[in-house]
This record gives sequence, C-alpha cells and structure tokens, in this order.
Amino acid sequence: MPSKSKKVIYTLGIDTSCDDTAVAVLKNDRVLANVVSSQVDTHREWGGVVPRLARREHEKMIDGCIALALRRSGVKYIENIDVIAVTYGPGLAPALEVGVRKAREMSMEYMIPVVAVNHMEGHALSTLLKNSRGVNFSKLAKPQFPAIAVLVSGGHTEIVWIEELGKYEIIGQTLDDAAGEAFDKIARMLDLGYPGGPVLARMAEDGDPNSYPLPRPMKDSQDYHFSFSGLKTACLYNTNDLKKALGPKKFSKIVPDYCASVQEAIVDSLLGKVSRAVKKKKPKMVMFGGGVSANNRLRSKFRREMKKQNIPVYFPDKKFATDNASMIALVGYYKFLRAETVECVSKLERDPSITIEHALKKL
Amino acid sequence: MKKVRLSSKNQQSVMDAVIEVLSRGGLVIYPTETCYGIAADATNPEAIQKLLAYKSKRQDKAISVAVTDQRMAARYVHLNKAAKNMYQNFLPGPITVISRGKGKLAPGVESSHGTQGIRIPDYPFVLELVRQYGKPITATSANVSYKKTPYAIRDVLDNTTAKQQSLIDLAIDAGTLPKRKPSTVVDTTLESIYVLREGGIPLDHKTVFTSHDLEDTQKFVTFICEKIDKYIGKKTIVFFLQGDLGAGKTTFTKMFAKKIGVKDIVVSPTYTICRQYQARAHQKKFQLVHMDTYRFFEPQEIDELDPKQLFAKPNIVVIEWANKVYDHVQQYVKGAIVVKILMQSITPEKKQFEYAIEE
Repeated sequence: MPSKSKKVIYTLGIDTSCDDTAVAVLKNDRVLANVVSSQVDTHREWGGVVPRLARREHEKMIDGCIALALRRSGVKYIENIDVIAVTYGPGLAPALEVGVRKAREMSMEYMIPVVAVNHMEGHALSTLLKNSRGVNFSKLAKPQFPAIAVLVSGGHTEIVWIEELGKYEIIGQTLDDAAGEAFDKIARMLDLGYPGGPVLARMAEDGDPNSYPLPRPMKDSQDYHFSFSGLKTACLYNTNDLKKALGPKKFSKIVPDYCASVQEAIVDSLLGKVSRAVKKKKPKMVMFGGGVSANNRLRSKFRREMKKQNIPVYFPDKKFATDNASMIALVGYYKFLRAETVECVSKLERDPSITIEHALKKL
Repeated sequence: MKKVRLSSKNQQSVMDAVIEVLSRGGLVIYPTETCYGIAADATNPEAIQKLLAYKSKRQDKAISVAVTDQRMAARYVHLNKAAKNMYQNFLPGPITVISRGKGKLAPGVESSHGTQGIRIPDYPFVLELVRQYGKPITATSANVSYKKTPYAIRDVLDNTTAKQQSLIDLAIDAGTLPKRKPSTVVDTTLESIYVLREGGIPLDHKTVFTSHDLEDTQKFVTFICEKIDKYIGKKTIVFFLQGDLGAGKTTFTKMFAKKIGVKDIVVSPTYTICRQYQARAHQKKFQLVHMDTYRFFEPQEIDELDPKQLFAKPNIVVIEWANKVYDHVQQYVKGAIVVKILMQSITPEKKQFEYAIEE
C-alpha cells in the first residue's frame, strides 16, 4: 500500500503494446525521462518504422531503454522507484508479454509494487502530462470532468466519455478502419509507400483541400460512430481513374491537392461526430490522444469548432501523441494514489483484447 | 576540428577541403535543408566505424545516406514502383525513402533488416558535393545520440565531449539554419513483398460468385457458413482471404463474425495485426482470430504470435493478405478446414469472389 505521508512518487512506466519499446520515469505527474526505441535518436535514423512485431525486438531493447530512462531522469537506480506501471493491454499479445514479464521480474527482485495500465487510458489522459518543472505540456491548467476524450491512431478511433478519472465509456468508435489506417492506406494508393500517413499530411500542406470532392462517411447517421472504408473505396476508384486519365507525370502534380482533399475528408468525418457528441452530452472539456491527433489540420479545425461551441479542447504534445510510456506512468501514478496496485504480481497477465472500459477491472 | 565559414565566394574551395577529408575516411559536419548533418564516406568501413563511435549508443539503428539522383540510388538499393514514384516526383526534398539495400555500403549503414534510407537533400552545396565526390555520404544529423537536433554548429559543440569533438575533422558553418521539420520517412519496402508474391494462393477447384451489392455479399457469407456449419465448434477453420485494398476482406469478416455470434464490433486488424473475439455457435464458445499480415516483412513473423494458441481447436482464424503467409502457415493448419477466397473489386459495388473449401 502506498504511504499517505510520502509526497513524491517516482513511477517507472513501461509500454510494449505494439511496434515500439517505450519506457518513462515520472516524478508525480511530471515527466523526467521519456524513451521510445524508434526515436531514441532524433530524425533520419529509423529502426522502428518498418514494423517489427517480433518479440525479440522488444526483448533486445527493453533493458537498454529502462537503463537509459533511469539515467536520463536522474533517478539513477531502480531502488528509487516507488511503483512500476506497465501496459497489460490492448495490443499484440507477444509484445505485451515482454513488458509485463519485465515488470513482474523487477517487482519481485526489488519489492516494488506494480500497477497494470490500460494503454487506451494512457492515450485518453496524455494531455495531463507535465514537464519536469510542473508546466502542463498541453496548457491544460485544471482538468474538468465529465470530459470527452477523442482517441485517434492507426489502430483506434473512438470517442470516450470520462465521467471522472478512472471511469470510462466508449460512446462512439470506428466500425471498420481507424482514421490513421485510412491515411496510411490511401497514401499507398497514391504510391507514397506504407505507412504513408505522415507523408500524405506533409504533401497536403501544399494542396487545396477543396479540389477533389470526397465522401464524408456516416455524416448523417445519428450515432457517434465512424466508418472510413467507404472513403477508402471511393479513393481507390478515384485515384485509378485519375492515373489513367492523366498519366503518371501529370498525376504526381495533383498529389498534393488530392492529399489535402483526403485529409480534409478524414478530419471532417471526425469533426462531425465529435461535435455532435459535444453538443448532446455537454462535457466540460475535450482532450485528444493518439498519433493522428498530431495532425495540424485536425488541430486547427477542432480548435476553431470547439471555440465556437465554447468548450476547451486540448491536444497532447506531439511526442506524447504517438505510443509512449509517460502516459502509462501517469495513469499508473493516479492508480497508485487510489491504491489500485496489482495484488498478486506473479499472476499478472497480459490481456490483448481489453478496451478502455475495462480500465477499472480489479487485478 | 577545423571550422570553415561557408560563403557564396568560397564554395568550391570548401568543397575541395570536404572531399579531401572524406576520401581519407574523416568526418565532416555540414548544413542541409533541415539541420546540420554529419558526413562520412558511406562506402568506407573505417569512416563508418568512426561515425558510430561519434554518435555512440546507437544499438542497431541504420544511417541514411545522401545521393544526387535516382540513378545513383539504384546502385545501392532496389527501387520498386513506390520508390521510383518518390524519386521522380518528390525529390530532392525533405523526404527519406527506405528501400531494400543491395549490401554495397559499409557495414552498419544498412539496418539490421537490410533496409536503407536514402535522401536527396534540397541543398545545392550538398548535391554538388556528392556529385563531385561520386559516392554516397551519410546524411544523419550531427547530434550525438539522444541530444537535440542541431540548427547551428554551436548546438553540436554544446552537447558533445572533447573526445567526441576530436573525431570530427571539419565543420562547415553556414550560420544558424531555419528551424525546419525533420525529413519525413517513406517506407517503400512493404510494396515490394506485395508485388513479389502477387502469384498468391493456389485455388484448384474454385467456384466463382459475383456480388453486385452488400446484400449479395451477405448471401455469399451465409452460403459459406452453411457449407462449414458442421465443423463450427468442432474443428479449427482457417480462412485465407486474398485481395487488394478495398476488395472487401474486412467487410466479409464483419458479416461472418455476426453469423458466429461475435458481439463486439469487428474492425480492421491492419495496424494491430491480430484481434481476437469471443464467438459462440452451436452452444460452443471459441475464438474468432482476425489477422492481417499486410505489415509483415517476412512470413516467419507469424511464429511470434503464438500460433499454437491462435490455431487451437475449434478456433476460427481469418487471415487477410493470406498470400504473404500461405506457404509458411501450412504447418499450423494440418487437420483444419480450409476456406480460400480470392476477392476482386470490379466496380465500387460489384465484387467477384473465387473460392474453394478444403475439408
């Protein structure tokens, strides 16, 4: 049990839910170190971009990432850590297994309590992270609930109702492809490689979003669900026709305009449903999470719309939009304060298929 | 370390000095359109060793290289359609294109998976330098590992030790560079596998079903369900689905999932690779395993997913982009009922399904 008198809690966060090995050290809700294996070196080096779901990759990276996070944080020794927060789902089973096993081992060796964290709860609360001086990265001074979290990434697109910290309900989600996946797949149709979401967004910066009329799927449905497969199919036929009509050289000239139009269609689809949810459910704030929330067009369109509705909207710092362990450590810290530690660490298992609604599950 | 200030007048003499350092295996800090980079002759093993010593703690990360054009790139990497599209239409520019390497660069330059990132910087001095030198130079940023991106020579010096600085022979100072975003990485390697294995899964005694709309597709799903009904809840059933983007693979799986009592919303597994759902039919509980191998680099990756548990009796496994792993998973599907479906989109609504059931 956490001792009530102790004011400073050092949390070690571990996330191995998908392609990246991520480790972080937090002092309360402040990030002291944030290590992501594919980004340990800044740009132009890569390593995690080609997806390697291989367990061996995480196994190769995890000890180095933990050592680096401890060193960078200044905490130095694992003995100084008060609680280990580890992602136990959702994600790829063998990948999750690496993190969970590491947490179990360290917990037993150093007698440190473990908190099991739901990866999606991490994304939902990523805007609450603060830097080492205690300044919130997202300019979110005081969280207010109930809130709506919009989680948009390559694997997820969902609207989550947050009654209070720890209480979540999915009120809308994608019925087929995730928003990030739509970006990536349409980029492939444009011969921009895969995953081409980031390069599509970059090309879109020089394009006109109104040049190609594309469908806004599910625009008129009364629920809060999304669907992107119709847009994907429309783009497939549209791009094939354009390629035939224009020839490769001329086609490449319209790629920026096409990218801008695609981006606009995806952002509009998100905006329509989130706006509907905000109008109907009247949350006190909207917070974003997930890799697609780093998209600039998405940010500016949502800022404008939420301002109109007079609801504050917050976006994660770009390094906390994609998968990271700081958000896992943050959730772990909150759970530790609520004494939600894992009772029997040796029995802690990964659970690849959980949703954010399982965040309260007693372990 | 020698420092030279680059001006409009001394370009050629600076270039001569850089070439001299590069050809004897030295390291040079140089400006690009994104930030300061560090150059070494990417074909010289000693120069690369020196670079790795400078960067320190890089584990097995790869190093991208700068070339002048597509022709030069083709000497070092295999260029497929997606890569050529990038070279011909979007380079030079702040984009790193990843392709399969040919193993012609010094050890440590290509990634451990044999891929190579290539840049054509939109910076005349660098393009001319590489042209005159005639060999690719490294295009990694000049910061040591984990330190901030350098936009001025000072940024490099402030974050390196004297020992690290002693490894640098020459620094080309072009003042403080505008803070541009780092280059965007475009990975073209998944495309090549797709093209390579286009042959796909063998369909010997196939039947063709044409679907004109979603209602027809629903009929097709019902028909397939009836065919395999007696095995549901008893044997492992494996669906191999093959078809391009938008052919209807996930739509088929969603409809099928409903038929076997899956309550959750079945969504595309491309990003997560594998999703598992609780299914219930004929009073039996089992799992629907929905996999997408599109992001696989090699078929062996499925071995990491605990295939024994995935293909356990009486699970139903649906594999999208099945042609990628078809041969490799034969070892796991012995004794299973196999349903192969080749899906083709004729128009946005009209689909053609060629299928075969092996009992």
